[in-house]
Amino acid sequence: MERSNEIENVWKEGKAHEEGPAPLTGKDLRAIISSRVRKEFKTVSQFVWAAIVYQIILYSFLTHTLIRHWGNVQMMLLCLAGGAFYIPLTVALLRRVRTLYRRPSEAPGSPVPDVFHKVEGEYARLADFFHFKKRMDWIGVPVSCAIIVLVTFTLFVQGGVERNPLAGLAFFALWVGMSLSSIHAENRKRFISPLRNLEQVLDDLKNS
Amino acid sequence: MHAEPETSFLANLNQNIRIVHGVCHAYFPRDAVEREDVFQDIMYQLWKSYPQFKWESKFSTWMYKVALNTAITHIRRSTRTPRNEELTEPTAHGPDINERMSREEELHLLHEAIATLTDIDKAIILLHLEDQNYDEIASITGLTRTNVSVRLVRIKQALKEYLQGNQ
Repeated sequence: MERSNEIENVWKEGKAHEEGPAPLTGKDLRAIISSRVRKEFKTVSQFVWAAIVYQIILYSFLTHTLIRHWGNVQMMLLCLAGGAFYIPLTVALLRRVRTLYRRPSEAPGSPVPDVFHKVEGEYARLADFFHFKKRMDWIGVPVSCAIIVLVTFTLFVQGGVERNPLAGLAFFALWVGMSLSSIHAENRKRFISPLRNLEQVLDDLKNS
Repeated sequence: MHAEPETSFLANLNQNIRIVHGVCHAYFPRDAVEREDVFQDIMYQLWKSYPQFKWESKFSTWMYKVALNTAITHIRRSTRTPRNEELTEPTAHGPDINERMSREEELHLLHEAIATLTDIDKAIILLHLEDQNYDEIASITGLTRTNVSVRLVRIKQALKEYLQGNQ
């Protein structure tokens, strides 16, 4: 291969002899659109379900316990406090998820951003959601674990947490440990590694 | 999208469809499944953004923006393990086999060289090879015109070194 100004020549000559891609028909386009819409919906709903499934379990547990032990003031207060604590968190989570998955191009009249602004926007939205999620995890996980331990011990262990503080503490630590380890794995897959990739692209753009 | 905008969208799209294939090939040269996936993703984003396109820039410039934005963000969303297929070996047909083989081999090698670049450098060289001028490259990538020209020199140098080392 000659090396004078050959990159452009190689590209042009090679492309000139390549077969052109087949044109897209209306039918092809509609098939692509419907498959993408399904995929997008699936991705968002998968994440929403993964994010709130723990809370759904918690709400079911609290509701079941509340109905079953209606009249037991201590139990009722515990269940209601748990619900009152978690409802604002669930609402905030759903709002943030909606912001995370709203694409800027969907806003009417908005122009398509250049690569730098697109990557910067993606990074900002993901980092913002991750920041919110970390705060929510640090508050929500210990509190929900504490509620579960308190209710379980009050219902099933004679003397409750008051007479079995060490067992209660161990159960609490185990529950928090399991939650944090699964949250950490999930964060790495969905946030830490994608944020690192976006950061690399942004660094590359800024360091030119 | 109604029938008339869809017809005009398809007509413009088909005139420039090589852009989408070029972007897919530059970013996913070794995985046909991923390439098809990002192709569909780009088509979907183009279709969604088309009603907002005001013809203030060339259709091809707008298409490059959408295609590159989608391809670059697709990389971070992808959960597939790259299959690292070998790039398709060139095949030769027709009477001028030797000449054609050589041209296809060279293009094949150039694709391999481009695959080694960073995401942004891939975009810059692809736009340059597809005859976009510095101002258009700057407007698509968000870099300044000077940055584009400086980076192009570096990218071409890197490509030449790769080609020399792999000939």
